Amino acid sequence: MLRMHALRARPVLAFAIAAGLAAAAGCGSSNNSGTSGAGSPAASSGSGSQVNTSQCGTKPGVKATGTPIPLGGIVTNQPGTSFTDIANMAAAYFACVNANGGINGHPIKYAIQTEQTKPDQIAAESKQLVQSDHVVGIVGNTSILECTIDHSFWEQQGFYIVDSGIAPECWSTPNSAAVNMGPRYSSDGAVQYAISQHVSKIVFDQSNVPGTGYIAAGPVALAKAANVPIVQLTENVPINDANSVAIKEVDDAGPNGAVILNFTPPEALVILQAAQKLGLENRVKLWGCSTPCNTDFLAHALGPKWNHKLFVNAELTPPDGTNTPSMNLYKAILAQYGKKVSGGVGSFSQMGFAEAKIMVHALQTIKGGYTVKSVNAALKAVKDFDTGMLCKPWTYGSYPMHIPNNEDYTVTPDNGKMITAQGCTPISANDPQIAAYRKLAG
Amino acid sequence: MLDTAAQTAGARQGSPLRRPAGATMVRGGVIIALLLLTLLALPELLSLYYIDAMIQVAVYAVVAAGLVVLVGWVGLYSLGQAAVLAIGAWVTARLLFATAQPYPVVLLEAGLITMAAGTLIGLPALRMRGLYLALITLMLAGGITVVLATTNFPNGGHGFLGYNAAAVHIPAIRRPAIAATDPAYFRYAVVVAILMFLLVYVHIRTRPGRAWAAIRQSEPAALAAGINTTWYKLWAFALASFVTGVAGGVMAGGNQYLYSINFAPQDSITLLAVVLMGGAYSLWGAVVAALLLQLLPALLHNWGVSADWLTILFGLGVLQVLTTAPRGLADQVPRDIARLGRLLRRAVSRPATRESEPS
Repeated sequence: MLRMHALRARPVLAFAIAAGLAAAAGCGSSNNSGTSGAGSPAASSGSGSQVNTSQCGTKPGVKATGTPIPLGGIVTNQPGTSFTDIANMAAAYFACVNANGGINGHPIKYAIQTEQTKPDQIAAESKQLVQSDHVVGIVGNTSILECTIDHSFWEQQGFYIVDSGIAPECWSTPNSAAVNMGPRYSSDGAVQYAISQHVSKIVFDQSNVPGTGYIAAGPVALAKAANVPIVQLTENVPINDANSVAIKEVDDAGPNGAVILNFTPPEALVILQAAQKLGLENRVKLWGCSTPCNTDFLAHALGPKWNHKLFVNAELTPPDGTNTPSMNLYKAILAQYGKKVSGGVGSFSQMGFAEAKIMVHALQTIKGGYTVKSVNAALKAVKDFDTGMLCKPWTYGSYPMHIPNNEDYTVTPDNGKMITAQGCTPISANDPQIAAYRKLAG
Repeated sequence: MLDTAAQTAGARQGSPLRRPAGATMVRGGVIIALLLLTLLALPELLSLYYIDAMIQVAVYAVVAAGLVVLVGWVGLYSLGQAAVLAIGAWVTARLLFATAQPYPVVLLEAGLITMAAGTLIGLPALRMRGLYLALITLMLAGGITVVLATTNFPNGGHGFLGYNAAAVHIPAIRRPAIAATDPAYFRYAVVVAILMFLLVYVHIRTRPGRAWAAIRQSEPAALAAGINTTWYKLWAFALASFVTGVAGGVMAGGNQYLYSINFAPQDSITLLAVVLMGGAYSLWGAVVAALLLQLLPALLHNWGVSADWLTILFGLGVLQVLTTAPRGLADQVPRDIARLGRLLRRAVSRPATRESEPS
């Protein structure tokens, strides 16, 4: 099972098997659906443990004992693709809140449903959450298909979900707002960095999965606006002949061109290692990659030849070297309550933290009962909220679409570590979806 | 009604094997009661989670019925049924996006087109059987899966493939107007399944069923008896493909979104395994197989048990069934229950007999 195990694996979100998430490879245990309430704290350790986790709640040290507030989330968990770290980190945050006063004395009861990329199962689980678990809010969803399958259901039921998106509907529908950028806008970020380096041509290569056209539409629009020719390629995964793929990419890009990849880390690594084996890494001006490549695992596996040659889009604030109160609280909660977060510090757990923080903030604004109506109205009203994990404050709002995270970092390998190459940069509004969102949200 | 092998044999050989009229009436009554329960009570009793699972049970019961025809009646081991199901779903989705035809018409068309494709898949069966046929059909299924992974399922796009790779909103596959909600669609799926079961039942109770049984027993003997084995084997593939295609159509409306990753070639192996467990010689076995394949994972998931365990369970189940009950659970369980009942009756009656004995 692919999971982040290296420190700082960076999230991802690419469509399924595609350019999804997963940073770095490793084996993790398979979690089943379950409910997590005020979980028992794990042994405290880690870099953030010196920070007092009681900051997460309003009454430090006072356990919440009121009527639970039921929340739910759906995550993909199957061989090769597991996003459970995101929901598990949200559960860790809720456990921290529950141990420190809860929401006005009410603990959060968080039900996590896992799915295996089956539309019927996903549809059933959303109904299970609403009908059987009686959840009043949905948070932490990270699924290859969930947004596509369920967005109509959430709209009918009046739920405004906070998620980490993969499918197009996570950003293009009124009732879903993601904390991440996903494969399209992350690829945009990689392409616009290449354009800023004055490349003469771009080759955009991605795995052949449903949604490739949707993802490629952004980079194509950016290249077109900059008058840079762009070649689109797709590869069936797993890649069997990486040498041919690398040669074709380099030949198409030319010596002053850029090759931009949108693959999961193992597939991207196979291509980049093939290029290195054939001595192709310097045959183009630069190589780029969407967020999944942002892992120290990949930087370490590639070695120093790729230092400042590969430029990777990063959707979230790099945890290493960031010493803000939110980042320290995140690390402290992870250390104390996040024993189920197998990937540790990294983009997945950062997303879970950000989503849970948004939800807790929304719940704390509610006066009166915690119902589907009140909770989702509060979520919708979240505006300019500092998650501590993103380039800029996060807003839900009443829009027909939501791309609240639309500024990114660029990182590059440096002797086995990923370091920041470019700070927060807005994704270009030459992508029509970004332009449409900015027009709506201001 | 649904017991097959024994009844056909009885019909062929006369009264000694024929079921008593009273027993037949009881069985008919039980079946009608079960159908009424399924159609009327279940949608009211079950949560939407389980209704969704039961829609899949209805779909896979029909797929399994097709496999019962091939494996149980003709002795042809096909490992391509998941791909045939995918073809049915693909055709249905394409027709539903492209036309405004009534759903039943689309189902019929999907069945017929899948029948043509499935019969082509069955062509190797004319020259081989057993392991070789299984291998060939599995490879064909793998090929179809690769094609589907490249072309994708229709999602409202234009052209022959109907796939719009750039779609920002993927539209749902429409359902019949009378079955827009999940409970209504469950009833719809059950009615379609009943019709497909009746179609299969009519086949196996009439001339084709007898010809298939003869082919399964001995193809040379069937040839010697004047049975056109080529024709009947293709007929079996055509029937199995038709019902599987219709099942794919029902699945399209049930899931409303289709992805090639949901039709892995290895699903055909699992399907065959559960059909052998359920009972490949009886249509009841198809129902049991569908429950094992679709309801059991939903139950386990709801109880927090990983459905991955089912792979091991099904492996052990096939082993157990093949060694102790070759006719499957559909045959074994009622007999075991009857045996248990007899034992209990005997245990209850013994003390009474002893008490009545003179001291």
